[in-house]
Amino acid sequence: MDHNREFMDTLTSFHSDLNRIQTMAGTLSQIERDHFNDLSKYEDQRLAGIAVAEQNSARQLGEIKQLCIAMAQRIQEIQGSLDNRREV
Amino acid sequence: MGILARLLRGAVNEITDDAVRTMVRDQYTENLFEMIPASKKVNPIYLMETAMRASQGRPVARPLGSHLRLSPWDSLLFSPVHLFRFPTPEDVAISTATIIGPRAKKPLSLSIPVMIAGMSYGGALSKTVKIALARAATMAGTATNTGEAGLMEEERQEAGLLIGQYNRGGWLNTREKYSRLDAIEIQLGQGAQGSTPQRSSAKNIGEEYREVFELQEDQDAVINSRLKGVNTKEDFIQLVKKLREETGVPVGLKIAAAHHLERELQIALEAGCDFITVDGAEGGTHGTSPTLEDDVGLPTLHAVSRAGQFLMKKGATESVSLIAAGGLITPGQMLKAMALGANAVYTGTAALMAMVGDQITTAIPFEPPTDMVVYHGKMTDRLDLDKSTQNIFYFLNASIREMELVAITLGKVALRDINRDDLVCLDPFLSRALNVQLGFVPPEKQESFYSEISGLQSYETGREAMAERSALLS
Repeated sequence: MDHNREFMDTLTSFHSDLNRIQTMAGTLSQIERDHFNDLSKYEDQRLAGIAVAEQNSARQLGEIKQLCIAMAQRIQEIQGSLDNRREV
Repeated sequence: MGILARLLRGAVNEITDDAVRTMVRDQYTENLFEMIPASKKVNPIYLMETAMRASQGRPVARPLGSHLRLSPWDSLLFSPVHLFRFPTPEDVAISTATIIGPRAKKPLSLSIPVMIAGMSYGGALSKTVKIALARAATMAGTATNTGEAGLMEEERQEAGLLIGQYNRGGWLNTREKYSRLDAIEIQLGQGAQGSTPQRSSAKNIGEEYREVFELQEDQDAVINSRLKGVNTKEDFIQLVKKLREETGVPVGLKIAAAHHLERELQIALEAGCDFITVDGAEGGTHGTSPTLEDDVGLPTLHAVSRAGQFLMKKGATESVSLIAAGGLITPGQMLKAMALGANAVYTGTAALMAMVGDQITTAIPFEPPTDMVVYHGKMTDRLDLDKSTQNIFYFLNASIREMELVAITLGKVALRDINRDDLVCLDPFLSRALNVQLGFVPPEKQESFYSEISGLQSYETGREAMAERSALLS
């Protein structure tokens, strides 16, 4: 029983952390996109190169956000099914 | 104008005048100008390949695949929105991520839906090129593919996500090797050459190539037409099950697209494949016979549409990923393939061209650019690794940005949300086959348009009918 409780608590903690990572990734992605827009205003070749890297980073952070959302949902489903089993 | 330039100008003028006078006066059969209509009749490519066959006595190996553009991508256009649905605001991020093999224990998660196609080290490309492709793919958050080769340690180290081909040469087919991959693609064929065997002579195989492929010093590298141990449908099903259980990574099938497509896909579904790669007839290769390239297979557009519709009919689109490959050059073509059902696409030839990019000046005008890229090339040491990596990465980034712009004008927030309904077709037959609406008539008149034209008579039938009517009247 204690193990189950511990497992459920761990899942809750993971769920909370994933939501936090998801928010951070989303915020960072937005910042990277803003950087891309700012850097794109300049003609300089080096800055243009950095802008491309920022745009790509924004995309990958966007992906991390989506992965976190999917994982958090999965954890919720597992918690739900464990709760149902306990009730039965 | 300098004296030299004036002399040169005068000489060119004299030579041109003389050449034109000769061509105008000579008998046509003795005239050099006959080369023009002759090569137009035969086609300069076929003319030169005919001469090569006559000179060498064996099939010529044409690099990069067929020159024929068989897929009518130009007959499809995306439909922007303005009011009935609004475009996506520019500050909204367009999701470009996709997942290959969602039901595998360890699905392959990509930041962008464009991957580097299977192009082998040794059999096709140099080590520098493979490393540049792996680095650029990793930077862009996507996967690269081993091609039909062994496991090259440097490629594994550089590639964040590596798809390995379980191949007909057998070079990657041990558990020790395929356990180190992020996805396994069972390679039974490729668009440019179907399921034909291939052979690289031992004399053309260097020491590193031999090591990666684990070949003896005098041993040729041979790709068989069949995969060893797979002689029945059941053998294939067992192989897929074994690889899935042993590794947990997505296991897929790669085939050359052909008219038997649905029958092949049915077996892939029965086997439990996590993804299917259809490689259209326009697919690239390091070099194979022009007949295999030009006269075998099914165009990529037809193949991806049929495969997409088949998976839809079978209710498998959520569980089995579809990868399109074969002559996809522009971001528009790639996105159209995705709208027709592909979850991701492979780019091969275009990625190589992007990689060489401005380094092309190193090779031309006296050597072809492929000389810097292919394993046997004379100029592989002249290719700059960092510049090549940057060129591929920029190419991928720019291509994806162009796709994002299309998504914005379609009012979509994810590339994966773009589908057939976002396309319009300019050809009535293609429209029917692809299940994409025809651009000639508004949506509500699609069905009535076809029923109306089905009553139209052909020119000949119409003439016969008129003649009959005239006869009756007289």
